[in-house]
Amino acid sequence: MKGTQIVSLSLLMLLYPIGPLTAQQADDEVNELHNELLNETTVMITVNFSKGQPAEYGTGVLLCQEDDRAWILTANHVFAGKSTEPWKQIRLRRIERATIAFYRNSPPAVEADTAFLRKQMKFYTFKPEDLLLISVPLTQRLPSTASLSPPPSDADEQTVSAHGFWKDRGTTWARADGELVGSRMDSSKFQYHTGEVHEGFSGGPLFNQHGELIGINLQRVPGEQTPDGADGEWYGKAQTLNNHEVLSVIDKWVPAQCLENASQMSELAFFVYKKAMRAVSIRRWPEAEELLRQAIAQKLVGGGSVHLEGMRYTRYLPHYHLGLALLNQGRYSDAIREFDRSEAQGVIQDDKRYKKLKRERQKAYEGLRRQAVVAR
Amino acid sequence: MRRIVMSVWVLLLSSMFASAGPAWGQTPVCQQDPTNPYVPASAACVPGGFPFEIETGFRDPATANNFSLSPPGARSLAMGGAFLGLADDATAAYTNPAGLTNLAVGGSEVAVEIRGAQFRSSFADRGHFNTTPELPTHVTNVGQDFEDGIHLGEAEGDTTGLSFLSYGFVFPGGLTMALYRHELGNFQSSFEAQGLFNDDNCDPPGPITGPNGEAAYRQPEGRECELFRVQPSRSRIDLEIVNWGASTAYAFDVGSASNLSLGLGISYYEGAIDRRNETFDTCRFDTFDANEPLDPIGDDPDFPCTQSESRSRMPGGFYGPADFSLDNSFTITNEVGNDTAFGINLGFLWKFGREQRFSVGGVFREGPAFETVQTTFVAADRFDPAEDIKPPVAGTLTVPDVTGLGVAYRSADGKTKLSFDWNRVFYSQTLGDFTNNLGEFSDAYTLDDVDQFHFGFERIVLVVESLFVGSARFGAWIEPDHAPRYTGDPNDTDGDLLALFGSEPDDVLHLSLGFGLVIKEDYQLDFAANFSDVADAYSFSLVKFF
Repeated sequence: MKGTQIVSLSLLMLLYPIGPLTAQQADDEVNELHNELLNETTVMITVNFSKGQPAEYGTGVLLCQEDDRAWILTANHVFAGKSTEPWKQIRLRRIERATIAFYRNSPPAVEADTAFLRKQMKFYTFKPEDLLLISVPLTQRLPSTASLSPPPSDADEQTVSAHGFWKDRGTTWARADGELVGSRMDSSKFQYHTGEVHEGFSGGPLFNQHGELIGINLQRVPGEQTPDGADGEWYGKAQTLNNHEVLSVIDKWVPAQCLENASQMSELAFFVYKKAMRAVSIRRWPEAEELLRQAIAQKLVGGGSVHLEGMRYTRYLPHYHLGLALLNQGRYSDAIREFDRSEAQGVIQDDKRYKKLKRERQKAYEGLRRQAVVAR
Repeated sequence: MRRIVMSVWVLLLSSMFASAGPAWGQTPVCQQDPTNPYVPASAACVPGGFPFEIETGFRDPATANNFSLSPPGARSLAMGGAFLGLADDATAAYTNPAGLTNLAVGGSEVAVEIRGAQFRSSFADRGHFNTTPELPTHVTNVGQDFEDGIHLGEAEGDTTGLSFLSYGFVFPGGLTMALYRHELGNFQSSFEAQGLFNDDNCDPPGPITGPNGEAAYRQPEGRECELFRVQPSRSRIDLEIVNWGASTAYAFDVGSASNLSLGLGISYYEGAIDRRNETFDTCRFDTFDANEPLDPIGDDPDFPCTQSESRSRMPGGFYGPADFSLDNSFTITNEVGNDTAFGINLGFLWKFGREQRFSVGGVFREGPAFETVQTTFVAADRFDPAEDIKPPVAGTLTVPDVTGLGVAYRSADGKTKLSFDWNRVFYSQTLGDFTNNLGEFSDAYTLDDVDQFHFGFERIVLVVESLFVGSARFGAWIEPDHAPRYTGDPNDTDGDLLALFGSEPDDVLHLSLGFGLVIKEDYQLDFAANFSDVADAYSFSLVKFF
């Protein structure tokens, strides 16, 4: 969603309460408008395969339109077909037809046969992630495209909405509201939410409460079993976009103009991170903590080169350094959690600081033990 | 008598300019640019100590003092020395100590630089000129007097050494400090010059009439000028100045978007200079008669080289090749100095603008002054015996102060940097070294301070996350002429000689380039080259990050 649209939406939200409508009516209208705007950034995808392979129904999100082409982000398995493997190669010759339908058929749907798929469309994979970037010829102007955004640092409280094509309900757009589930954030690559997603939502967008794109829905997964052995609550599983590997592919193939917002966020995060590095270097730990939290709010996931001074660059590892700042303030459990987050993001695992992370985490555990002994 | 005057001037000027007497110090007349160790100054001087004017100008590396007031480090060399506004690595310890606060962002580092230079400096070797440039020369075509005009010899000098070593570190709380060793001067050179023939006291063109309209000539009939020969000379210099310094800096926040760093440095200098200049007789077989005029033909009975061998083309003869043997020495002048001195560096660095993309830096660097001792020997039985051995004279070797201001811009991602510096070098402080021995002529010279302008550009061309960072750099700077100027009356006795210092050699343009590579956030390698008409310089530096 473009900035102007967000502003428009915000103005509507401000103005409606003073109109003749009731508060509830105003809220409903605003929500409807919000929903319309988000749906405009969403496409329905139907892929028919040859040789009896069942069709795939999925959703995509429009990232960009430039030079008579549109860039759509979706799930890889929508075009590759279902598989027991985490990632499957797309074989275009096995696709008889693919249809990409736009909201309210504006513009008209793109009907692609095998030849069109091979000659007119371009596919960029994110192996091993179940994501796919498609470039489609499109001369007619799109009403809207989505804006990328990193999720806030305190993800547990965030309200999200999944938009998609609910296959069992026919060719209609559906929206599933929910909240991010912090307890299921076992990896920074995925986000889990309580939105009720269904078949056809695959590849569809997961928006935050500001209408910014934070993930791509991949599947529906069961929660923890209940004591009597029954399945617990079901969750939507979405691929996080604010991931270095994912963003690097998007940065590479999507026109830079469309990613201006995201790059500005990274630029700001890197500037704050640079200030944080100074605070770390001179051991001003509370200042370092504050700055690192600011950086994380702008860019959650580690990775990327941050210019320090002169010729010196360093890798963006905010959780690692936040862990250091917390450790040096005696907040051991918080430090351990940040070290774990840094490790889970994976970037640090091939970095020279990984050994130090382990050492410092060990110190944090020892600090915790000492605190426990003293408490007893 | 003319020969006595000539010889006294040769001796005096020799001691000042060529043999680097105490009055010479770091006098820029025949010296290299103090702000650049690789480019000799744009002064005109003749080996053997005879200054005069030529249009092209030439430089005397053997008598030069070679100070390195330009920023150390291969990176700054590649950027044309424009580093005051950036000062974002450990070389800031010398360049602009306030820049040391940049280490607080990246952390401690050790830096080492090796710098080498190749000089192509010219000196007046042989030939024939007229001390009144607009009058024609009278080449005799006898012996060595066969070239019309000045034949420049080329002295090539090489120097390579550890020019910079530093350790910069960060204290908790934000105070940064650096200890360093910097070579302010490291130079060796030598050359031999045959000695120029020259016409002096020439009759002007056309008839000359006396007070009553009678024909009058200054020279005897049949002769237009008197002929002289600058004594052949041999010179060498060995100069080394090392700066052991400590600098510290601290940054203050100025508002929410800018900060101001202040830096202070203290330097302990060790200076060692060993200069020697010898001049050689051109009437080696002669018995001196001070009352005899010179004879350009060689068969004049009044010719001062009264013995036929002295008028001959034999080595040591007036027309012959120079005889550099010890027993033909005319004068020997030595200047020796081993001294220490202290100096200070003051600097500031102000970063401002969006994401602190702009910065302004300024610095004042105090140059040291070293005491030297000059001794001059005149070969026995040549002149008045009382002049044979001159008493030792105390002198000074002065390095000028430098102040400067620089502005820099860096893009948000740090990939593009532009830097522009203005430096003022206070060469006027060195005029006293030059004029000490000039006596009544001391006030006839001026030496102005000069403004140097430096421009530098750096572009990061390669970033492989956490593995490599590569950069390309370019720079340029202008080295203004900074020779002493004769401002006395050119019609004074001997003024025609001194006025020859009024030459205006061209300013020298320096172009530089280089590249750098950071490996795994641990090591930085930098290479740089600086090119100009008079010298090339090369630099390699290695930085280890902690």
